[in-house]
Amino acid sequence: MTRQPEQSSLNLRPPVPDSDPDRAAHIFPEGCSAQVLETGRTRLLAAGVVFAMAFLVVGWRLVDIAVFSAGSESRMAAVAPAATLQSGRADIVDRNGVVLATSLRTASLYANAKQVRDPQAAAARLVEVLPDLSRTEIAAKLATGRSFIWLKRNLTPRQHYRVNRLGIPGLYFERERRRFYPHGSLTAHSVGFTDVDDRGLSGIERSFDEVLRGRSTPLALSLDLRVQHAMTQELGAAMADFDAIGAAGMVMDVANGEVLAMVSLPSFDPERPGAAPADNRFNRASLGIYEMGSVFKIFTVAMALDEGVVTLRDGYDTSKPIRVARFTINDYHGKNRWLSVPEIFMYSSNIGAARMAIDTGTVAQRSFLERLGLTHPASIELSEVGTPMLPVPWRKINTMTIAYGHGLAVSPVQFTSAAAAVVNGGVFQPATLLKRVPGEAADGVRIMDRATSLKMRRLLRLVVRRGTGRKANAEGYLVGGKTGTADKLINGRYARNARIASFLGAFPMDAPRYVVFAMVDEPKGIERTHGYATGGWVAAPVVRAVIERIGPMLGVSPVHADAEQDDGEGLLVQARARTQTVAVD
Amino acid sequence: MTRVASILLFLTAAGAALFLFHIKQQVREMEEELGIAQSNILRHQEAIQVLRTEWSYLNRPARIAELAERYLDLQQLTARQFVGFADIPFRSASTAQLAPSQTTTATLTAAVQTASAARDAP
Repeated sequence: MTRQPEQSSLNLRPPVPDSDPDRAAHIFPEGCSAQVLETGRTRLLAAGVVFAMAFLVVGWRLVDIAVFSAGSESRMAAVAPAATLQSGRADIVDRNGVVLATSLRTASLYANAKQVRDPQAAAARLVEVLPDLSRTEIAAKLATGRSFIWLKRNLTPRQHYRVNRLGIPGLYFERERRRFYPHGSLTAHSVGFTDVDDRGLSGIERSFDEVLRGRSTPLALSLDLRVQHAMTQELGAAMADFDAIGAAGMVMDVANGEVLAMVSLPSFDPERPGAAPADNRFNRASLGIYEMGSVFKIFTVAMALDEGVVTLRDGYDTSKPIRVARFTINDYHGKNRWLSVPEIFMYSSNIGAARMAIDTGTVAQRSFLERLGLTHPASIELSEVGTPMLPVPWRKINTMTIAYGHGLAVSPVQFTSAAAAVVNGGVFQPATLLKRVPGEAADGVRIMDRATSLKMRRLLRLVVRRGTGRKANAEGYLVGGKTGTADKLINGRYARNARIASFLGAFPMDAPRYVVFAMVDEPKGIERTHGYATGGWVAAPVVRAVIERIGPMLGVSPVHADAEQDDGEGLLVQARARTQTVAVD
Repeated sequence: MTRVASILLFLTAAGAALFLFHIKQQVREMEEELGIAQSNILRHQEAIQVLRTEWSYLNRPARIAELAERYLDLQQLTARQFVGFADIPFRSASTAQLAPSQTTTATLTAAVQTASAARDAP
């Protein structure tokens, strides 16, 4: 570019007049100086052209910016991004947005004793505002003359304000962050807690530690605080009534595995986890594994029906106990006659269930329970998940005992998810503590025919209408369920006086939406229950009370008693006809 | 001619400089305001966070239940108290002429629905 004007400037050279030698000599004194002048002129021109070009470019750019590219400049003032609060750890909320865990900045009070003029007066005024401090202790601290003394950590905003208003010189605040759990022990096991450095130590706080640190929007759990409260209160009442050592409860949405309530009692204060005994921090609902007892017959009957081993018209002779090796399988309240499948389920016959399981076979039982998620730890989002205890090897005797819930220990979470799959049409949905996006289709695994599930609904309803689960019949909510009472295995022996009483309920049985599971650990029989401490007496009333409370909250419309079409009579009529046939034979 | 042009140019330049200074000053003031606003926002957000926590704390279901028991004359809702629209008995034929017209019924239904929607909303 610079060479171009130089060449052209050669042609622009003015003609040299050579007619006047004097003048020529004056202007061009010598040939040499003429040469120099010529060069200077050329350079000047060249530089001039370069500058002209540069100015042109700058000028053009000005026009360009001012006139043409006005579109790229925003016509409106841009909104400055608002400052966002960096709490360092996201909140945890329930499914309705109620805060379960949050990080707050707190002020901690310390003193520079060197600057405190009158320790006695200062202490007196301070104790007026912070009554839980000891006046003499504070005065002693302030009199030491040290430059840094903690007086009280984590003041509430109100206390902070009041201390500030005292205007005592020498008192200062250190800003700190602290995790708060407004609902305390109510959700302590599922939400968990953190240590002083804000690291999650248990529950969701632990399993979502990284996630909670990395975001500012709250993490929504599937829990519903109202349901959680109803379950906690009813279980607590049952625990107190029956002098039990613990209890666990679950409420689960059968359609997508959302856990609406997960209760483990006794509980603890997540802000002071160290103050409670370790047993209180133990999550009985997910970490504890228990032999569930007769509630397991749900799976035995479902399996036998689904495999086509029995139909609702078939049955077994339950008059004689089964003796295998040194074991004897007996019934609690033996009917001593042939029982149909619905009757076996309704009266909770161990003999019938064991025979049914034997006919189905060990391999089929094992694979069925595996598909129901009962042989491997639950996939719930907690690190406190119990590994089920399976019989090794899985023999024929195990098949029989598992049929009525002994010899296989699972956690309440596993059990509830499996039961949800039985009543929801036969699709297994892994349990989750996170709120699902409404309307999002849950991708479950089909584990049994829909027809089998429909039969199971009728059978479960039958148990509550006419069988062992009558105390769970919450009027209007078409509750179906199964009772369970298991002797606890203590030091390798089944204890007669230490039991697990449980009840698995689902409602409404015409189109189940929720399963409710309640389990009470070591209830003692009382006068009101005639000394009984079985699932039907202890856990079934808990489930009824919970369903009566949560039904209206969850938008389940009650059905009037006379509007129920299937009263279970049909199931029994079939069975009765069959009994007569057998008798004739 | 040149002098006039020079003076004009000088005045323009001086005017531009003054204008630039003014704008700059304004921007600085606004930035200061923005900074104050930002710190206010942070302060308020912190306060909101504290209040939200307190609200959640005061709404502990156990506390609400206790307060309801103490101050309200309410009982546990039973299934019998739910009645569907279809189940509401209509007036007998003798009082049919006194029955409200179709439109009033529709208005009533709408009013009931609005009321229940308002009650459901938090």
